[in-house]
Amino acid sequence: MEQDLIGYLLNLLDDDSAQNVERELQQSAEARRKLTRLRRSMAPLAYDNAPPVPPSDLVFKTLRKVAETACRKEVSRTGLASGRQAGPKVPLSSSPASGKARWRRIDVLIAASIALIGLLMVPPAIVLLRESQHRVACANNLRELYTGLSTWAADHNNTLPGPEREGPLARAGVVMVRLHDGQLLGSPRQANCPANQVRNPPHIPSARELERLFECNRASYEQLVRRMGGCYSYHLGYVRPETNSLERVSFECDKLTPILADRPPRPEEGPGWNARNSPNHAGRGQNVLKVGGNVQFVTSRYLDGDDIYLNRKRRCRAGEAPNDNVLGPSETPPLSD
Amino acid sequence: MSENLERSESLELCSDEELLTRFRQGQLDVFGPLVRRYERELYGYLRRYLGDDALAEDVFQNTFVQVFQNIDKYQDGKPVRPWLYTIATNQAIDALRRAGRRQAVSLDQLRTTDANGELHSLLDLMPSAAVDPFERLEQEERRERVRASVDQLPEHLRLTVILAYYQGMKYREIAEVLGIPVGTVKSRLHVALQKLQEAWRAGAAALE
Repeated sequence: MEQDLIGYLLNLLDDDSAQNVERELQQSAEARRKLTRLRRSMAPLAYDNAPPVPPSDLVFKTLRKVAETACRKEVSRTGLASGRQAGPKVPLSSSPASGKARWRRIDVLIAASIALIGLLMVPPAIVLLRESQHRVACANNLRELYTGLSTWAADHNNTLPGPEREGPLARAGVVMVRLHDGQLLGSPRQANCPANQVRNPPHIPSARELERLFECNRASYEQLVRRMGGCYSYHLGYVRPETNSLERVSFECDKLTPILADRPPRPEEGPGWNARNSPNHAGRGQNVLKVGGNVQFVTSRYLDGDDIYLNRKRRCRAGEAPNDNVLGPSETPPLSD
Repeated sequence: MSENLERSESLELCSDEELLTRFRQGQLDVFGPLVRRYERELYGYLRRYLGDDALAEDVFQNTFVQVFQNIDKYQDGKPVRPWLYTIATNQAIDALRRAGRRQAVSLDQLRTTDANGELHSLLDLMPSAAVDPFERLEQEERRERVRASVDQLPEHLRLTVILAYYQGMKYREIAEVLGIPVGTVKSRLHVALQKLQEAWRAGAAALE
């Protein structure tokens, strides 16, 4: 019985045996006392519960060794090494020309084996690599958009495109409409962050199409304005307190002013939407394009203490002052409804 | 890259048995996920059993070389875990033979104990959440004493304790790994625990 009690304590029993022990424990006070005594006597083993940690390159080394072994076996099986005991340690220079070719073939075999076996060994590393590649692709995309923005600004008194104060063009994503109408957008795909892997590019309407929809079909208009700006967020401008006018960002302002970025989470994307990073890069941060043309991946929504997605009143609306920069997703109006 | 990622994610959902069956059928890329899946567990086992980092690493690698070479001997659907442990244990025993027996750990190490002579008194010194440096040092000392006492057990008992207590195997699985009847596993574990208690008592009594 004591052996089964030990098994019960350490979860070594199969289900049937464990149930038998439980029945015995319910019926017998002696069994319960024994169990308590055993539990106490085994307790010191718990002092050494921390599992040893393997070296970080253990998996790689193991796969390499397996691959080498597999290659050696293959070499001896196919006679690539001319009946000689094959081994990768034989120097290339000591072999005749034909031998060199053979060893190169062995090298290829080893490389192929490692690739086949080891390619998928560390998904976390692959995920990180993929995220890193997406960040770079996204940054490049933003730089291309910058070219269009600066061209547009050159024709518009050095001012960036932005939403109107009211009417059909009073949405953040109008920036894309302006670029599209000015033929400054390489492709509508540029509205998508590469990290999102969205297959279809958004439909970017002309300003006229927006105006027409605004008049005729408000529901379709609302759907369209939500999609036209893709995965990014755009500067909403700021309200000049003295005149109460909506001002756009000028290319002559501080070169570190953010003008475009990965879009922030939307309210329907769950609690904390107004505090989290963009969903485009797995919540790790966002690429931010600045007036000077540089793109920075930042791991916080705050640039110099300013939340780039909310104004000083903690609303996703135009800034309250020239240095209150707010970038809103496509459907965002600059002013309160 | 994304294709690889999706594939690797789907492999993560496969059971060990499915992975080995696929590998036996020639799908080489399932081998990496299998090694990674057992990295911590099997290394932890070997490190405890062999008591040496480099040896544990070497045996871990050789275990998977053996899996690779003997994949034809794997029967589809057979539980992989005990099979892997069997290979690892055999490799570890061979490695110990080659390297010479490990240096025995003296039970004298137990004499530093400040327990009051009874095994259960150690219970009162169970690790707490305290972060006091002195307390941490004491915890480390207790850990070393316990490890030394397990290391001092005869080979067959030590293996049983490690597999049962630290690796969380069932009696049935341990029997399969060691190639002995379940009854023998039970009695070995029972004897091992008695010996550990004796060792802890002796260590405590030595202070008196």
